[in-house]
Amino acid sequence: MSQGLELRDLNIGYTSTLITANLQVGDGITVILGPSGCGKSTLLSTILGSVPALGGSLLLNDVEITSAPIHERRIGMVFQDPLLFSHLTVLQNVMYGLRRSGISKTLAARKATELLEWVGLLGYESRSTQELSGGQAQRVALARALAPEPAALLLDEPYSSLDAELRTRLAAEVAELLRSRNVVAVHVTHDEAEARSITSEIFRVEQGSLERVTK
Amino acid sequence: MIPALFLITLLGVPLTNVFQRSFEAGTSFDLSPQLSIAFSAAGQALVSTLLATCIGLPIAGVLATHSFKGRAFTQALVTVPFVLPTVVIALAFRELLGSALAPGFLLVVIAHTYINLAVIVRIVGATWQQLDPRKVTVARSLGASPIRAFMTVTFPELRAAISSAASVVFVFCFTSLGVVLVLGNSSTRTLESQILRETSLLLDFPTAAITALLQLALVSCVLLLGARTSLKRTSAVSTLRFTRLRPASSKAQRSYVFVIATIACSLVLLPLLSLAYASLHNSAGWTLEWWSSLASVDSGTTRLGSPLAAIGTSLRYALLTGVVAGIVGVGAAIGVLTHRLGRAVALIALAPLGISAATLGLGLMLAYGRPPLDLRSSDVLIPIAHSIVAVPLVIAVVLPTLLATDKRFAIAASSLGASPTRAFFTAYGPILRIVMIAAGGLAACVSLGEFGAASFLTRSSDPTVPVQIVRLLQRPGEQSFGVACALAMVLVLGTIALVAGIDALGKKRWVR
Repeated sequence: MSQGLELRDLNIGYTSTLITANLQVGDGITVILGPSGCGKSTLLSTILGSVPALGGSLLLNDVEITSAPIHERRIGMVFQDPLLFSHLTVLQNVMYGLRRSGISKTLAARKATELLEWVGLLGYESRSTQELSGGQAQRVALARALAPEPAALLLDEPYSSLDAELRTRLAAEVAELLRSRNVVAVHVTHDEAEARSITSEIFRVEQGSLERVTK
Repeated sequence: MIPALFLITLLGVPLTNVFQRSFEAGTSFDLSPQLSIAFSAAGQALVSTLLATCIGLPIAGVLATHSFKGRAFTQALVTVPFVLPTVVIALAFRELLGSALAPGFLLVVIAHTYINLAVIVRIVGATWQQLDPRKVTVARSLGASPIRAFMTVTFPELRAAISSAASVVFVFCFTSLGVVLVLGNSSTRTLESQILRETSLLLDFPTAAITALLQLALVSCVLLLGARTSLKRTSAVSTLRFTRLRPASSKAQRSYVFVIATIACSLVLLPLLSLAYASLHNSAGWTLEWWSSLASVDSGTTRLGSPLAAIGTSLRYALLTGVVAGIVGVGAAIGVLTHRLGRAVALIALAPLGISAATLGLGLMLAYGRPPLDLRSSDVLIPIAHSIVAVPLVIAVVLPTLLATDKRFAIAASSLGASPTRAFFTAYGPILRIVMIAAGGLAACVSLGEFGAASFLTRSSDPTVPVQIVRLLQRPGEQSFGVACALAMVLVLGTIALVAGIDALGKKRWVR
């Protein structure tokens, strides 16, 4: 019995296969490197379920989820942009997933506040999402994705819109935060330096498949 | 100056006349009949708006977020009912459903829903297209079902557009005239039809003036409420961005897109095909009798001139409206760019959006339809009314195009020694030529189908096509109905040809 994500000959693409992925993500963070347009984001969208797989199978904690609808997969995702719900406050954004899983409003608010404290944004609960800086918004997006305790987390170049200094600092901080919560995560980036600052588990998209990067 | 003078003389004076005339009713005037009509019209408008919104939203969603074969065709087709004359649509529904449903509430609501689908699809679709679809994906990944994701993420971001579109639809249905006259009964009267009744049947002008003012007040309240809700919501919504259309990714999505697009096309085509059938059919079978009798003076036993003459009259008015509204509307749009009072003039020019055609017709009739200045025997009163109705649309078409033109061309021309006028036309001249023709075409299109103001101002011996259609329908007999259908088909084809021409011009502009 294997824990985590497993991709078995998973065919990724919209109309024709861009990548045939074989990957086992046991614990911690795995980074997938590749240039723009190689299919990295499509790979994450397929794992998430917003793009159907063209073939192969996807398992999460040994359960086949290849055809499961997105909301039943228990996989969270943080995109390049924070994509916060602008009609909700910061706290309501983080509570969103908790409320969908049937947790009471009071308990959801408490848990969401804890997560905001964890990402260093305690005191921002009632703020509008438009009052946040890029880095703060991305932290709220991370807290929101982790709130319903997903079985796996996907990060699609989440720091690409930030400046280089903030990007490196935030990448290292978030990697540490994820490790401390034992979250299985797949992080996609085109920046090799950023990849190495996060983990040594690095794969590169090469000629339509995933190849492990050795030091 | 030209747009300002035009609007003050031909909009301000008539409205002042309506206002003055209302005082003649005296202080003991009883408003309860008008309020009762307003109440029932509001109920009808509310149901029509709800139906148009419920049917329009899925269509808007599919057209705004998915790319599929036939998308452009579906989008164009859904817009057709809005540009067609209301009288024609009413006639089409009378032919399609008249044998199953008696004239009244249900038929009026169905026709209003049909006409206003395009308003919902266009206004809400434009916002929907700019929403980031990844937000829905995020909501889904957080455990929201498709419906829950729509209700908690998409709908709040669309609320402003929905409020705005719904308030416009409500006003259209509340002030409806052509549909109510053709498909309604005594319980579906609107204030608009009441104004017509008070002027043409009861000859009670002071009461008509009060009814017009009451309608103006109620319509202004609804539009202000819609604008307020819309502004409040817009400020809460994040910056919008253009998103690419994506093909449906799953089989379920593909089926959904197919079903919605098919329903949309069928809904639009069915009444029009039924109208075409009626124009080619009599009790004995297929016939060209109604089409061939378009030139006959006695056709439809109206004895008020041949339908062909009505087509000639409508075309003449459409041409005049195209020229007048084109010049005034484009002048107002240029004023916004070049004159410090331009924005004020443009705002006044947009006022007819909230003033019903009947109020406008009544005002023009009171101001310029009787001695000392009686213009009813001339050819100018109806084109003036049509131009006032069309000017806001012309501005809405022209202004965004002018604003999108790079004004640095004018600065460059000035720096090379061109006078301000020369510099302006160097920058905007090429686009103005095309836009003026398109705007004139749009105004002509409005004129061809306009019924409300024409019904007040038309001469009995020289009716426009929509007025002639209603007159034919008020007479019993198969011939009247058949000729009315043929005449309506002429309007359908003419309007579609005009819109296609404008569209071709628009494409030519982008090719440049």
